[in-house]
Amino acid sequence: METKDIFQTKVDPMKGSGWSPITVAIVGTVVVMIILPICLVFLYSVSTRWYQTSWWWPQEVGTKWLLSIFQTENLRNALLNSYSIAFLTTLATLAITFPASYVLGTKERYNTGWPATVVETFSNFPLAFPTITLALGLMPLFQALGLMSSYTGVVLCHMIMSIPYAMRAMVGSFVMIPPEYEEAARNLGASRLYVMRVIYLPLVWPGMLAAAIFSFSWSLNEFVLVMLLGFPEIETIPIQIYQFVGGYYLHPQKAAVLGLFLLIPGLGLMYIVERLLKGTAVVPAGA
Amino acid sequence: MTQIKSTSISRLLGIERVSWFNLILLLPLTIFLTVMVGYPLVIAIFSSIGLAHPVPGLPDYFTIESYQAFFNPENPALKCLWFTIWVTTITATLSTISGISMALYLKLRDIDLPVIISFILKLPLFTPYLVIAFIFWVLLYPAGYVVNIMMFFQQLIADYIVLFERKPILVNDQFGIAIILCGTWMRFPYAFIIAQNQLAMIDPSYEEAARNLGASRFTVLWKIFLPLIKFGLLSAALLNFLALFIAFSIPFVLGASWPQFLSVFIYVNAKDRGDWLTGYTTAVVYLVIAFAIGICYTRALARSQTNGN
Repeated sequence: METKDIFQTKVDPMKGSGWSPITVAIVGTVVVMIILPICLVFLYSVSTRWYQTSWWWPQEVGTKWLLSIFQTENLRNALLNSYSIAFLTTLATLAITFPASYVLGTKERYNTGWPATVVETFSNFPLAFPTITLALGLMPLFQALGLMSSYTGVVLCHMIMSIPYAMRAMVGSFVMIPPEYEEAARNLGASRLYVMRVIYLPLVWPGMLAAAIFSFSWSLNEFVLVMLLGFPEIETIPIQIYQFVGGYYLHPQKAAVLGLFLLIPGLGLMYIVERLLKGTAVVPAGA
Repeated sequence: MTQIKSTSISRLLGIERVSWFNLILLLPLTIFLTVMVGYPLVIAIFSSIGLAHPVPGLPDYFTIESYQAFFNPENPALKCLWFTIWVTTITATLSTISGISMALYLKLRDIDLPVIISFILKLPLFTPYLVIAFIFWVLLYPAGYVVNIMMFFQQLIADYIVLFERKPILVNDQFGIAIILCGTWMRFPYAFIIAQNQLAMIDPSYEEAARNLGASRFTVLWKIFLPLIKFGLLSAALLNFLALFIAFSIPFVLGASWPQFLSVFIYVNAKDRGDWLTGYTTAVVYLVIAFAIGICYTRALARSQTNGN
């Protein structure tokens, strides 16, 4: 009887107590501290009159600043540039990373040698490197190639940072495909190109979609490379936000409206990635 | 003859057993990375020692004078480096400790967060950087909520104590307060996610055994949980450090005109002042430190994965 008592699991007063008031308070505080600052973007974007004497809430709300974005040519261009550059960056990134991801994702089956290892390691380098260093090195190259302050140049430099994220998402998808699928197709005489197109492409689409979302989001948010290699000819949403909060013409409301064009698609797309990759999404580095 | 030649070249390159199909598939990415990543890095390094002259004003002979000047204690670049390390260390420490504390608390309480709250906790990681910079700028600038709330409380207690005689400067300040607060908000979820994942992998029988032997909750936490997840936490802290250390947008918007964050210092010297030598030299030092932190992070991550947590 005594032996039985000794081996009985001790009841921890904290365990299983679930959502006690203290827990609710702690988790609630953290959630509020995350949500409230983000809500500020929405609040500033609709505040059309806000006096300093009544600092706690705007006196008038409306869509004045939202409409002003579409009525101002350079802001309209910034929106157009941001989304079109992000779209092209995504397409180019997928085109260049799909074949490489196939090689890296199936390297257990084929002898890929040191070139694959080098490419895999090197493709991750930009994640840990200060982007400003790369930008400084790219400036003379872009000047020599006539890519400085050009649309093509901005797309190319956005690809530098979107490739590592896209590779991670896509290589993971290739690894998860059972090798028997490819072996069966190859035994029946299919070429490797045919296998890539007919077997892998339909199966790795969640990884490709995640890669596309990473590339699109990264390009949409990118700031320093456009600032150094594209500005002033190429203006994007982040550049305009900076002009309104850090530049000479301070206008938090317009910055907030522009911020919505980054925030809403950014969070929406990341929600899809979270669902696709079941919470194992790649966490971005840098700021 | 051609076949013999190609075979010998393959052997020379150590790729004689590698499928040519694989090499062709890797080629576009290899060319892109060589031109867009490798070449700029080489240009930056060579320009800083006078071996490349892509822009005017660089020495046309091999020299390491710019590095000697960089490490002169009076050099502003060195001061900016210390400022960057200081601000980044505080931010990484605060964000990692807060993330770990929350994960440990939830583990001890045996609470699984609902999916929606888990997603909300990840929001700062996925919020665009310029939007985050904007949020903290409007929160902390003299007309923002934080300063107004501080002044409101100051008025309430004005008869007893004076904490601020005038509005405190919380943004674009010399201590990097805004960068620290913003960075902590931004990176806290990462430490939380890593700590939560690592804690979830610990075999529950360890805790049960310790509790049966009379260990207190604190002992379980200190002697079982923390040692088992220490490399995971170290990797989280290092990534949080690296993420802010290489940052540009946040310090560019929220930082002071002096002292500057290292990335901003490079930008100002190269783009605004045209001092390319200082720009390239500082960029290379920056790169080397970031690379060293990156290696430490990779090793800590590998240890955390092989530790059998």
